[in-house]
Formats: sequence, C-alpha cells, structure tokens
Amino acid sequence: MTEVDARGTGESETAAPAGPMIEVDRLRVSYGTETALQDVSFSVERRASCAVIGPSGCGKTTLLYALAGLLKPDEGRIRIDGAPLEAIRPATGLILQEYGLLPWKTVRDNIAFPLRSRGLDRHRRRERTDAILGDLGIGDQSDKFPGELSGGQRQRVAIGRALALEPDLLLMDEASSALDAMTRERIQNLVLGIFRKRPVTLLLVTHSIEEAVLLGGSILVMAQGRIRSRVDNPCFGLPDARDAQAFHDLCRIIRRELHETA
Amino acid sequence: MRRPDGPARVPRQRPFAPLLRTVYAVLCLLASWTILHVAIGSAIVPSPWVTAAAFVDLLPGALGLHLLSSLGRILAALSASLLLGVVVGLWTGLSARSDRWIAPIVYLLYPLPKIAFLPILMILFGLGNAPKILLIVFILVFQVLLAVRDGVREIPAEWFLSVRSTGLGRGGLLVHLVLPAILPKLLTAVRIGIGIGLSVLFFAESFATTYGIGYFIMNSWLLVDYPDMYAGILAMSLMGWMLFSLVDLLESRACRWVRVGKT
Repeated sequence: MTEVDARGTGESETAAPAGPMIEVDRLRVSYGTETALQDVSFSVERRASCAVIGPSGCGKTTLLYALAGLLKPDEGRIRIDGAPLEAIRPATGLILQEYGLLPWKTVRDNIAFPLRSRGLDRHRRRERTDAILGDLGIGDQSDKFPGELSGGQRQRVAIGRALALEPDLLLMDEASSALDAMTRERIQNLVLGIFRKRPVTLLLVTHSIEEAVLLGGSILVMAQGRIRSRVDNPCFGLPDARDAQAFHDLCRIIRRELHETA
Repeated sequence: MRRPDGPARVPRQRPFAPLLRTVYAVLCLLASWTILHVAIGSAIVPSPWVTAAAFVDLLPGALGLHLLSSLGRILAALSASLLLGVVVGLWTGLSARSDRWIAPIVYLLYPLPKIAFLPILMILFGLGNAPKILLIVFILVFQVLLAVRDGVREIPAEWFLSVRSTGLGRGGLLVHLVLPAILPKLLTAVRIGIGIGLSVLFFAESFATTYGIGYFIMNSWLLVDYPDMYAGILAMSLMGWMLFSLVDLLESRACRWVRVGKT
C-alpha cells in the first residue's frame, strides 16, 4: 500500500517521529458469524486527514471502533503512532454523532468529566473546559443540558469533549450528517480549522460524498467490509473548496466509485 | 423529545405552583371527607376537625412513638431493598450470563403472594422488627431489581463506547453513565415501593405487635375509637406523603435533565 502525504504540501515537520500515524494491516473483524471487515490495509500519515466513505453497513463504523481500541480484531494488526493498539489509547479522541453526549451532564460537565481520570484538578479542569467552550463558540451554553441545545451546538460540545483530552488522533463518526445544510458547512469548517491549528491526525467516517471530499486529504471508498479504492484529494485544503471545479470533479469520481462497488 | 433544530427551553415553574397544587388537593380531600361525614351520619366517619383534634392531641405522645417505629421499619426495608436490588440489578443488567442464571429465579419468585409467608417469617424471626422488615424487602427487592436491570439494558451500546473511548474504567462507567441513566427508573420503583411497602407494613403490624401505626389503627378500631383510628390513618398518610415528597425532591434535583426540552 502506498503512503500518501494527504496534506499534499510536502513540508516535513521537524522533530516529528518517523512513520505513519495509523497503520492497518490485513484487518479482519467479525460479529459472531458475520464478517464486518475483511483484509483491510491502509495507512494515514501524521497530521494528515483521511475520510472513509461507503454505504451503510459497509463496515466503516466498525473500522472506526477498531481504531479507537473499542473492539478486538479477529486478525490483522493496528499500529497507532508506531505502537501496536492493544487497549483504548488516551490520546485518541472519538467523536460519535448521536450518542457522544450524556444527557444528564451539563455542557461543561460533559467536557470535563473524562479529565478527572486524567489527574487534572478542579481548577485546571474548569480552565481547560472554559477555554475549549470559548474556542468552539459555545461559551454561553456551558450550564445547559444537551437536550437544550441545537444539533450543531451538540456536535460542537462532542468535538469539545474530544479536544479537551488533547488528542493526536481524532476519529469522527458522521461529523455533520444529521444537520441542516448551513449548520453542516459551519461544522465542517470548524473541523477543518481544528485540523489546521492543532497537531492532529484526522480520520472521519461519512456517507456524504461532499463531506469526504471536503474533509479528507485522502479518501477510502469502502464496500462490503473491504476497502475498494483509495483516492488522493488534490483539492483538500483549498480555500473555498466547495466552489472549486476540482472539488466537483472529485465528487463525481467518488460517486462513480461508489456506484461501481455497489 | 429532542428537537432537531433550535434550542429547546427548560420549562420554568413559578415557585409557589407546587404548593398551590398541594393546597388544592388537600381542600378536595377535606371537602369529600366532610360530605361523606355528613351523608353517612355515623361515628364510623368522624369529621375532619374531630380527627385533626385527636391527631394533634395524640401525636406528641403514643401516636408519635407508633409512627416512629413504623417509619424506622419502612426506611430500613426500603434501604435494604434498594441496596440488594440495585446490586443484583446492575449485575444482571451488565452481564448477560448472570442474567441467564438469575432471571428464571426472579421470575418464579416475583409473582408469589409473599404476604402469605408472614406467619412463617414470624415463627423464624420472632415477633420483633425482623419479620416485618423482611416481608417488605422480600416484596420490594424484585421490583427494584427488575427496574435496575431493565434500565441498564436500555442504555444504548454507543453510550458505553463513547464513554469508554475517553479512557474511563469500570468505576467511571458506573458513576458517569450507568447510575445516572437508571436513576429515573429507580426513583419510580422507589415511589411504587413506598406505596406497596406501607400497605404491607400495615398488614404486618396488625398481627402480634404492640408498636407500629398499623397496630395503633387496628387497636383503635377494636376499641371503637373512630377519631383515634382516623388520626392513625392520617398519620400514616402524612408519613407516606412525606416519603413521596422526599423522592420528588430528590428527582427534581438529580433528574432535572429528564424534563429538559419537554415543554
């Protein structure tokens, strides 16, 4: 499998350890007799972003859970940051769209509660939480419950919880698929902004072609538990990518890939 | 219900609304009581005022002691049922294997008319507090257990994954996810348990006992002292109402999130 510098810039950060951030080698995951993932191999470079796209049931969410260390593969191996993945990794942030937030915790507590187990005292938890809430533009919502928020605000809190753990790898499930068009664009821009500003590798799972092309430096097309193709994304990171001709050309290519594999 | 678009609002109540509603309920009760008293025209339904006078007269003395011993029994029984029910409920809810072993036993024991075993409990444990408390626990523990188990099962698997992904261990999952998730169901079980517990207690206290509000009521009845009997009923109702209010208060504090977004 060829390694792709998904940022396409070719600049190499100094002091960054060598080797890709995610290495997956011949991964197989099954639930009982049903095989969810088969012969999945790919790698994602450090500080690159990768979008996984495919129809529902193609195994993309299973792949995300496996990368998060939440389920044990039957075969194959996963290496994250050069080390074999054997348990849940503290520096991996997982953002689940629908179930990311606990409804009985306020926005602030939803972000702060995992920090307690990381040995942060009350003061520092509060400091970090408030800073992140401010960054994400939801500082005035901090005492509300998730049920009082709009969909976009909830997604911001879910992102905030992952960021509070200062991850070097962010895994996202359907970043914006349940949101209306305008909110979706804002969340996508937010994710791009986070990716640019922070030293983080991004892997996101989506069933939206536009989202994959917008947020993925490389795009993995999945079907029936396998990776069918890998497409490098030349328009990743372009300003106003949504208006670029190359963006729409790539969307067409991905759409064709999806139809061919279906 | 979550609203997909636009922030929902927490319904704000005027602070006196619950109090006004209680006053309204009390007035309704007093009115129907008075109507019954006048309509029946017999000593078996004394007027609310005569009952209140007897209640005020008796409460600092004998009635208070009877009430306290009943309260002690009901609180002990509730605590024991909660402790046992929550522990076994969590265990069966979180582990499918333990549920396979425990559920058949629970299903067999749950519908038994346990109240019929009071004589056996009295032979085994004497005439003191133990058989009364045990009888209530024997009845309530299954309700708590099933409420907790079903509550745990209803937690979406994705929530477990989401919380686990932050690196929290078993203890953290219990504190941040499982216990808050089952709390509303548990409080409902407690509320039902208080009602059932009080009626079972009344039954248990009407046999071979010299202390307890159940004894006081039955004894006043045998002595054909209806105002005292009604004072006892009033005391028992007030005790139940206070326990209920306590659960309500707990719920409004700890489960505020449940009402969020329901306008």
